[in-house]
Amino acid sequence: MIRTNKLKKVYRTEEIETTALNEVDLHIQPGEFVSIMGPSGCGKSTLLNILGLIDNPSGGEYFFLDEEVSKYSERQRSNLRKHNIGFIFQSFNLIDELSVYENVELPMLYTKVPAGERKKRTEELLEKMNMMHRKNHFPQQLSGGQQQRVAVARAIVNNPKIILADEPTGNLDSSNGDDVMKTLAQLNQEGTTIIMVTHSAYCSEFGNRVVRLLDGQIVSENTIAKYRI
Amino acid sequence: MLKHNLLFLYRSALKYKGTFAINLIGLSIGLASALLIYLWVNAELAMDHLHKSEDRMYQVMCNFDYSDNLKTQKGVPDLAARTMKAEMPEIEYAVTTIPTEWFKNINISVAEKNHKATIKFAEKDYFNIFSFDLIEGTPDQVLANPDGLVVTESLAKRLFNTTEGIIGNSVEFQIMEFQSSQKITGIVKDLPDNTTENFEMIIPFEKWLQLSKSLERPVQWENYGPEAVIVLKEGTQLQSIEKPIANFLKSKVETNASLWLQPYADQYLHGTYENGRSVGGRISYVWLFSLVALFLVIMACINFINLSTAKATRKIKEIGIKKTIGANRKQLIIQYLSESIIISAIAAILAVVMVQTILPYFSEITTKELALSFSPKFFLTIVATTLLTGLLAGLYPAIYLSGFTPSIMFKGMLQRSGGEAQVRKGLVIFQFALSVSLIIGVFVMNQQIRFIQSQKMGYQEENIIYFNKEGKAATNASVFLEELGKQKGVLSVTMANSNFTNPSANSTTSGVRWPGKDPNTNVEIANNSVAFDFLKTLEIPLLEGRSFSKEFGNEREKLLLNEEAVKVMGLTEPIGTTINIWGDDYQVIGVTKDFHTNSFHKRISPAFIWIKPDHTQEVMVRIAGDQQAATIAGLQDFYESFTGQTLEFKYLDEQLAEAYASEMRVSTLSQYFAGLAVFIACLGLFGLAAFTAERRTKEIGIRKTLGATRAGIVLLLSKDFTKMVLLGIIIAIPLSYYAANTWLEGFAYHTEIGIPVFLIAGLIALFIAWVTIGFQAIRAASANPIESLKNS
Repeated sequence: MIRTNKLKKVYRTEEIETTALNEVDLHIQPGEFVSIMGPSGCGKSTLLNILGLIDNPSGGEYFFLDEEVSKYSERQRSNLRKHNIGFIFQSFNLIDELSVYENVELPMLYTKVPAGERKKRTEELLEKMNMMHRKNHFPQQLSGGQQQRVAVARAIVNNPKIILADEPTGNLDSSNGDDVMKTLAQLNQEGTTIIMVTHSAYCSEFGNRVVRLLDGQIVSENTIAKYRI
Repeated sequence: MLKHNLLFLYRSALKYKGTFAINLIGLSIGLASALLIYLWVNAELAMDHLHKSEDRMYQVMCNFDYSDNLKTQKGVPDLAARTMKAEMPEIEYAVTTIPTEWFKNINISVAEKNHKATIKFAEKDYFNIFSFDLIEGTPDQVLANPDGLVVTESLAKRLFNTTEGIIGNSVEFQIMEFQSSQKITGIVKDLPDNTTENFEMIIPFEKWLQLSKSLERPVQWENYGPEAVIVLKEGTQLQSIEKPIANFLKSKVETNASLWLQPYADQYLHGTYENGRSVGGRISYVWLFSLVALFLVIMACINFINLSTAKATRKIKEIGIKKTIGANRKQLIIQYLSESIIISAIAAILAVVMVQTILPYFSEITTKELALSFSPKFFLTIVATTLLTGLLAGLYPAIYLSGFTPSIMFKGMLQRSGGEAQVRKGLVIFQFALSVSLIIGVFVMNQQIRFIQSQKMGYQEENIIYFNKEGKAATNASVFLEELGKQKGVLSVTMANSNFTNPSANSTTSGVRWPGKDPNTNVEIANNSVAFDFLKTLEIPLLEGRSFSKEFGNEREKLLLNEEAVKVMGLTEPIGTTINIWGDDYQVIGVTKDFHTNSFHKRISPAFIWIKPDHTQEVMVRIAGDQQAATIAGLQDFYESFTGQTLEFKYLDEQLAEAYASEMRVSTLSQYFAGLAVFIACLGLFGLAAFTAERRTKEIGIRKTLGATRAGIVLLLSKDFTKMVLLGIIIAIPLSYYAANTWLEGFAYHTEIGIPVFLIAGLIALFIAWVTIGFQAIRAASANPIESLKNS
């Protein structure tokens, strides 16, 4: 599903050149739940952004669903993204001006899902996330756990093949964090591929593989035989 | 998606009320100003475009080739039109008319009851050329009988309380000593607003010829004054008739005059002539205000652009999220454009409400009956303007904002290229350059008007009243004048052919010969027909010789010259010189100082003054400066008892001021629009200053912690804006200097634009800008630095 070959990302300012990713080779099969771990600044989020087609690599190859996409234009990446990838962020990133319902509905506006279908899917997911009673609330009126549940609903509303989660529990207490992880594991059980960046060893155990990064390079890959549900 | 965009706009507006208000207020004011100007421009452009043959309808213009210049006027000989029609088969209709300015508020009577009316004399095809609606009568017949008369609907109602069954009723009129009774042959609907014609009754031209004969006014090819309009036959090329028209007068008499045709509807906006051709006129004001309208809208759009790009940081999260979950650039551009178009639409609705409210005042200033018509054309114009404004304001921000990559959200801040900041600065400079130009323009206009008002006319215009002589005052003028002079408070009385306030009533001639005159030179000399005491009443100083006096008999063969005439004629000893006018000899008895017989638009022309009381229409009375109310009351009583009419008089100084009415109007309008431009520019500056203060909160906090004073912080925040405003001023100075100078050249006598004008205009702009920025700067500088650092 995902394959990178000598993936490289270099940030340049006028005087300094920083290598965020250095020849990263990564292979992810459909249905996997991969946790990416490593210390701050090791390139985890950069890797996730490139895998999520939010950013382009500076070098190397990136095959997404067997297509080489490293040189794709913003428009091409956007097309791939909206139909195949769902995002979950540490800081939830809900749009403040939109209600819970509207935030969940938003991705379907960009994939031109008909209004009736949008309503049906949004309500189903809000029920599933136990957020239906809050559908007219705005993000700033919700707790962190509730906001992340809405963000998860938004990430999966277009039935993506893959979910990219960047420290999804980072801003949550353990109970809410647990709920989110269980939801992700559930989605993975249902066939969605998940790639998650995390600092938490506990969270990484919800996945079936842990990739460790250091200074922009993969230093280890471990398969977890019996992962947590 | 549209619903989403609307919702988003609504919620953003609630969240960022300040920015939304600045954008909405600026755009509403910009659009309201543009709409007002549009209404005025539309009314100006529609003037005289109402006659069915307008594409074949021409005003006959007359060029006089004088030695030093080519003068253009509308006046032609009385018989020009009818003779042209008889001789030129290309002409379908031709009429000569006597302009209404000659006979305003003439005395008429119905069944011995007196009324006033504005009279026009016109040849019989007048209504075949001018498409005014006749309620009674047909265009061919209403002016066919010399004793006929066409009245407007409202005059008919004033005279008879009805328009029904009044055909054949008699109306008497009197001009000077000439009296006649006319029978109503037609009734015309009141004239529409978009015509320059302004009569209340039309009398057949044959009656004018009778009147001229009875008053010994020569109807000949060398006497110009009436105006002629012709309609060419369909299919006639203008070029084919231009030559015969040009040579027409020369085929009748030896003359320096030649005729040419100007499209009738053009003369209203293109009524200024140089070198024998139209070189503009009111059209320049139409252009000027159209530009002002455009600039005001652009300035409001600039605020929108600047605030949207400056406050892009607010949008980072939204753009990042939307792009991450699948929005493409086009969808975001559409979202931001629809936002700007919707704001522009709301602004347009507010603008219509504003315009509806202030239209009566605006109509008063422009002296035009303007109204919002809510026609399909109006709606189309509003919709098109809204769309264009929305696009103009929203396009650059939409392209700029939608260009962010989704990863920008994760970096948390904008990596500003500096390019958009330069664009913003450039736009602010542009706004201030325009505002300062407008302020300078207003100053120069006011300075010129003050200059004109402070200039001496060469006579004392204060405390002089004038009026038309009517009834017995005309038929028994000498007794009337003598009695009038005896009234309490009256210092001196005279009569003249012109009251100096109406250029079309001024008479000029080139038929003057003097000793030593080069037979090949033609000089236009103003002809002032007056009664005794003319110099005394107007207090025109005499340079040498003497004035007219009854002690020397009727003085009909004597002449006064002005200084300019003596100069033009090159007379070293003017007193006693014999001057020949139209074949008769006159002896110069005195030379007066120069005086204006026109507005300050024109130079003082050489002039002669002769005693011809029969050719005078205006009575001029100098009254004592004190107790004027009692004097006027006494005069009214006297006039009524002498003539049986009510006295309708005017003050000379007030009417002279009227000659600059169009400049005053333009000046007043410019003041308002310049004020609005400055206001819109400051609105934007206010928003930007708030943004700068917000952006630099942390910096200000650190500086204050390190010991910066409040004044130091205010200076720091104001510095950049001051530079922008100063640059705007520097750009405005040469532009406005050039524009103002061009405008001033339209006056024969004008003020000089001094450095103070630029200094004051610049200081005003700077001061207003400082007040605007200062408010935000002081607020930022007064904030607690600990709070600023904590919050940032």
